[in-house]
Amino acid sequence: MVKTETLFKKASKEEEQIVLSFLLKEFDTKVREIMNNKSIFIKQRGVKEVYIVNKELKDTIEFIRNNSLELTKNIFLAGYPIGIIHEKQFQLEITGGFYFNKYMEKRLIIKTKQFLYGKDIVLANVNEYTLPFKKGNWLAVYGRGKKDSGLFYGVGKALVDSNELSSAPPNTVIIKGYKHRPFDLGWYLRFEK
Amino acid sequence: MQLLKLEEQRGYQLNKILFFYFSIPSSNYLIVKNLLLRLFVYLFMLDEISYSDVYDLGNKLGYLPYMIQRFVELIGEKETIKLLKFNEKKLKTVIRLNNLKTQFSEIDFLLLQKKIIFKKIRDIPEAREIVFSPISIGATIEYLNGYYMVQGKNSMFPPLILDPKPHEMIGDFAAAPGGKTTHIAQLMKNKGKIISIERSKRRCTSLYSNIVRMGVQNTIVLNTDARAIVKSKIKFDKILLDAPCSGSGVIINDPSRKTSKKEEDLAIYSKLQTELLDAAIQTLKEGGTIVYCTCSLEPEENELVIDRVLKDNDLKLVDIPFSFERGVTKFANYSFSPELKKAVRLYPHKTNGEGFFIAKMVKESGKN
Ligand SMILES: C[S@@+](CC[C@H](N)C(=O)[O-])C[C@H]1O[C@@H](n2cnc3c(N)ncnc32)[C@H](O)[C@@H]1O
Repeated sequence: MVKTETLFKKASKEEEQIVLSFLLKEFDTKVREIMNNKSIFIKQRGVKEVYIVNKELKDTIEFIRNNSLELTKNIFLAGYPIGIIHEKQFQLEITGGFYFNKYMEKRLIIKTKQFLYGKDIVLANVNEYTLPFKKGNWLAVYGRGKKDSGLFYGVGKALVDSNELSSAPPNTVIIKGYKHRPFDLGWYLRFEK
Repeated sequence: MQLLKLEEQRGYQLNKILFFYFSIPSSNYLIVKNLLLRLFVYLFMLDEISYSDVYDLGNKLGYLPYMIQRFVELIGEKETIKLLKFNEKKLKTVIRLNNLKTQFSEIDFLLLQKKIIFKKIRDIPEAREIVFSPISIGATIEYLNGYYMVQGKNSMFPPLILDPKPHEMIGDFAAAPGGKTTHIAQLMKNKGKIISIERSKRRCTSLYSNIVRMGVQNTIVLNTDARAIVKSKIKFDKILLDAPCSGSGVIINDPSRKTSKKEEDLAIYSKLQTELLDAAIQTLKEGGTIVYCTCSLEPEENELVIDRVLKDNDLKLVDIPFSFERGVTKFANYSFSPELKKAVRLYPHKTNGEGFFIAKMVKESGKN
């Protein structure tokens, strides 16, 4: 893939629509609260990275742009990254999981740390889930080992409906582990190495 | 004169010990007498340290000779010996708890659950020194969740001295990997604005991952030379310049520094540091504050840089409310403004941490 790099800029109407429709689907009425005084920004570095930027930072970015386009090109990050736009779809990433986890009510509580190493979550490793979920819903993954009770592990897209689980075999994959695009917290360790 | 006074005091101490020694009957308190004798020998020996002893030790430990000569010039033979010995140790692991994620008490609880033993550190409520940990402290789920940052104790002082407030516009002029940017964000409760500038793209990546992991949302990272920020016309309330430096205060973490920098390199650093500080001053609001720091012990990178900018700008040094050693006003052929006593020097062996120089300045209003 050609690594195109663009300015850190406000999302176009179309890009904004893609992200907002994702947020509406996942968080429904809470979107108003989440997006209050916030804007969506895009930085393309090969993929289109999506950022949530508050009003004060947005004004500062504009101020910088008005005085030096050169410096605007040097913006590496502003606000908080939440995911990417890929083939006109928004894809949540682990950073987005951090950002939204207090709003994510569909939670999967797991027994092992395998997910942190990019491995799949199979039914046998699931302790419980907080609310019924449908295939394609985004779930927040939490640990409940002896030592990590209640700590956030990452996010993932459900591959099955929760009502299928009672009759499913233990090796049924519920969330796929991703080694390349970060969905789990272990990504930080892999990324920094 | 000062030296003579010290020698006089030591002679007085030695005499006092001898007096006690002989006034205790030999049949009794043999242990006490023995201890006094040892103390006497120790103090006497300390007096006997010569430049060649220090030089030999420096040589044995692999330092370039110019470094030893400069340390002796700066702190004397005895302190240099202590510094060199300290640099052979390993620093205690220290973490900074991040209350942008959750309360300190909750993090303490989670650490204790993992059987990690820690203690609090004076003057830094957010710091914990790890006394014992059965697991790697940089790979726990709490770490990945950004509940803490593994960070040198003394590197927490510059943000505390900067004292950023929510709603201010703060500049961090040499920011990666972001120990101080994320600390500043925490002190600002994730409000206001931070512009973090880092010239190296590779290092911007670790700055990015620390900012995101620690949950910082009030920051813009600029991947550029900090001298270019003048073009933005931004006016900062406060600026931290943790300048790139020769690193002679952190040999304990990087022993390669014993040989990696030549004496001539100091002038190159000094020039860059002065230029960065000049850029910082230009972009500071009137009445605004700058904290300048380095992890170097070399006066050319510290007092000399401050002395230069004080001459050319309407700046004044302000007192730093921690009890560290003060900046020097004389070194080799240099003499600096007496105001430099307001800056502080954190010597590794005296503070049990990384070496730092920190100066705090305010830009006077109505001028410049
Ligand atoms: C002492 S380190 C900063 C440590 C950082 N403040 C922290 O607490 O994590 C100095 C940094 O300055 C960067 N640097 C060097 N020259 C620079 C310049 N001209 N402009 C901006 N950054 C520069 C270096 O790449 C390095 O990351």
